[in-house]
Amino acid sequence: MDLSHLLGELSKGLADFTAGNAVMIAVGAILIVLAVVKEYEPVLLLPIGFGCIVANIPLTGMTEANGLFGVLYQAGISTELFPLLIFIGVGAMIDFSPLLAQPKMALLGAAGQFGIFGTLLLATLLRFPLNEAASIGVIGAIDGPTSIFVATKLAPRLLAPIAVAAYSYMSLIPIIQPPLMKLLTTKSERRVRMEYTPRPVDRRALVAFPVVITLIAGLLVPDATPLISMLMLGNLLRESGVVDRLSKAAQNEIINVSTLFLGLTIGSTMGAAAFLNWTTLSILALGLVAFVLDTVAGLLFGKLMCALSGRTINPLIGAAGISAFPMAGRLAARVAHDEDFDNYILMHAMGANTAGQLGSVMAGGVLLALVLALT
Amino acid sequence: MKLTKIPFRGKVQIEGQVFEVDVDDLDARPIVATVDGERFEVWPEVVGAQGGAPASMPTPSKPEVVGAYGSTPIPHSAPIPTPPSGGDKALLVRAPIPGVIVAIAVKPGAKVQIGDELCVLEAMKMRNAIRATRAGQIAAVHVTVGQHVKHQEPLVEFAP
Repeated sequence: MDLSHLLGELSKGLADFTAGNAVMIAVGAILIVLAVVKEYEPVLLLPIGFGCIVANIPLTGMTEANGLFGVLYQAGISTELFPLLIFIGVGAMIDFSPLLAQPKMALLGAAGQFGIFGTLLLATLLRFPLNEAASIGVIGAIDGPTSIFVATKLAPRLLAPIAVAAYSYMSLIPIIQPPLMKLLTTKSERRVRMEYTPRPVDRRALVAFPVVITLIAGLLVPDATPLISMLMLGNLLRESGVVDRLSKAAQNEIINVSTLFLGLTIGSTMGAAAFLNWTTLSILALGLVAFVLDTVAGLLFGKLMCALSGRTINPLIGAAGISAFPMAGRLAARVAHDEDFDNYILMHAMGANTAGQLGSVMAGGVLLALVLALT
Repeated sequence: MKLTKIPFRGKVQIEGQVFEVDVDDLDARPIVATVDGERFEVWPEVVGAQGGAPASMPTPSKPEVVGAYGSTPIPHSAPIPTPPSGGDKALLVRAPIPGVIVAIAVKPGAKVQIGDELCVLEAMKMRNAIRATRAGQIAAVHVTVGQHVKHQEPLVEFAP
């Protein structure tokens, strides 16, 4: 037996190991540390980090077309299957009653999406082609599945950095948003009281809502239909009250299994060659800009509503008009509560937050339709 | 009827938060106070019940201002609603939003200061500290840990 040959075989993996692989393994490790120590979106960052580490071990064949990651990518990402399955679960977890009780909150959910279009313009100025600029802009709504869905359709090349940006900024909401809230609102605006007015929402309205929204959105923005319809299917399972098992399955098993494989597969696309470049850095930077612009747009619109309503609307809820639920809504309520401990705007903030969830999906669909029509 | 107005203007500090308070006439009922640019109406039933006290005071006593802080804001253009009768509003702490009680910080007989935590109400998976908007002694706690409460359900009652 030729020992030197054996040694050569054993060290083959090491010989193919590049400095870039080492850096990416470190990146994967950082994501895992953030997930474990800081609990930053652990459900996603943990599988992404691990997938990244495994994908950067040379010669495993896992990222080849027939390898595990290759198969998962073909089956779940290229087809947009995983984000859509996740949307069924998200829909089953959303309670739209705070929004249905206060329909005017829908305006805040729409205002929060301006950052998407602002960033799109900025990215175009930085010479990103339109399809890539649009995919980057969607990060601003801090909606992971929508970002992934849009990026898969428009710019699959940028999928990994976009997914990482969307999910990282989601966990950075409590750090990024409060300074903007304090900067853009006055102390007395943050103290505007919003009395909780219980307005019972008719059960028929709750059941009809997902069907009606699917029809309206589907007819207006056909490209958004996969996202909206799956979101609304999940919500219908929840609100119908007759398929408790399906609703629970959507909220637990379906979304958990999809999230695990989505994260793992996204992580596996973080190969050194594809990830370690200036494009990734500029996507991370532009994603942050998009998020800041979304928050600013929401706050400014909140201020406008505050002034128009004779100071009966607290402008802080404007910052909750993004997709990250329930973090953004809770944060707006907490900032108001810190300013005045007898002020509870939680339910209003949640109304704006659910509107933001719906708004970001719609905005993603509108963007898809526009870009697909233009390119 | 008195013709002279007793105005009050100044800063009131509550739990480290400074509020700009401007009262046009302390003798009027309800007292119309502007706190940080927002209009409040106050019926000083607790302090004023002994009769004639507010008229002789150059500044309102602390509980009275706190009453202003704890009352419902009324937008400038809105019609003035009639306040609930009796001292019930000031003594009863009610649930500001529906939720579940996850912790209770006071027992009957406990003395609390303004801003002290009374209980924690969890709503939408967020813990909301319910704090005392007045100082005093707790007469009764109407809820238990784990209890679901509706909007405006009594939580804690102060001794008169």
